[in-house]
Amino acid sequence: MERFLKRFWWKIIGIGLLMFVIVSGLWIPLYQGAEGLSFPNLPILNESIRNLLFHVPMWFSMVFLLLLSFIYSISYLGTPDRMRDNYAVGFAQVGVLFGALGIFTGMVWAKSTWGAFWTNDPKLNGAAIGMLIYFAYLILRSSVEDEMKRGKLAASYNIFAFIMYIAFIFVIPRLTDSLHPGNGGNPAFSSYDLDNTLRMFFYPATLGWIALSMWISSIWIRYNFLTQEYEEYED
Amino acid sequence: MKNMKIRNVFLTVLSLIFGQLLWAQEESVYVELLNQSNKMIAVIAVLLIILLGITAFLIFMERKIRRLEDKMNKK
Repeated sequence: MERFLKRFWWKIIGIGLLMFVIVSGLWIPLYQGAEGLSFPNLPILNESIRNLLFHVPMWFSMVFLLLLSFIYSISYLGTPDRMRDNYAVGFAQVGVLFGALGIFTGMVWAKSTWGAFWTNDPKLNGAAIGMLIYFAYLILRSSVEDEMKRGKLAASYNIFAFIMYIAFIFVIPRLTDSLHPGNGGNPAFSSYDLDNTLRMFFYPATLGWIALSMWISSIWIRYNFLTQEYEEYED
Repeated sequence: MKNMKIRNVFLTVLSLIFGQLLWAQEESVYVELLNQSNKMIAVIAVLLIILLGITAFLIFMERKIRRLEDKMNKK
């Protein structure tokens, strides 16, 4: 992982994909009956359908980073070493940042389609509770002085946090009524309005946002590691 | 070999970015309207500037951290 994070090619490809998504995602018109490349022109969603290239991939990036954090927490409990703990916390912190971006873009989208920035939707409430669970994880880390104790406690909590988060944003919304596509008996995006043109941009957007989130994480993790090493050297 | 690899990556990214500009089909009325107002171009330009700014900052940080890592490894 360490060697992969230091490589440059995937970062350039990721930024290239994001540039492609921004240019074409905003440039391509909605379907107006004319031939050529166009996005679906759906009632209620209208122009806001372009947010699919920003809001959803940001959430995917967050889930991807939280999954990596979860994996590193498990591996830390197996073999406790500082770098694994650094990876776990670094991925979780940047994951929370992307979660906040996802919530922000979702709120803007909700305002234009549902008429309010926040509705009593199980997915929205689940996302908010999930974010609070991760804030608690970060506070928990800062409240323990001993490095080994902190690492083990945080890793155990992180495993619980990830499972709870997945339950809150993917499982519970499917069991009750929800405004989100693919939840509460609603058909998912793929079955009624994610057409092949949108797919051509949605997949690159997902890869691009994941690459950007990984790049930010790698810099953050390496910076934290350097800070720790420097403090130890000073002592 | 390494140069070929870099060139291939560069060309792939370029073709992805400019592929839409080379679209030769007839454009819809909507695009014409947006082109006339130039508003969409402004939105795209601002977003690209923000993205390039973030990229430049990340490259700057990456180089700085790499230098510090090298220094620490030497010590």
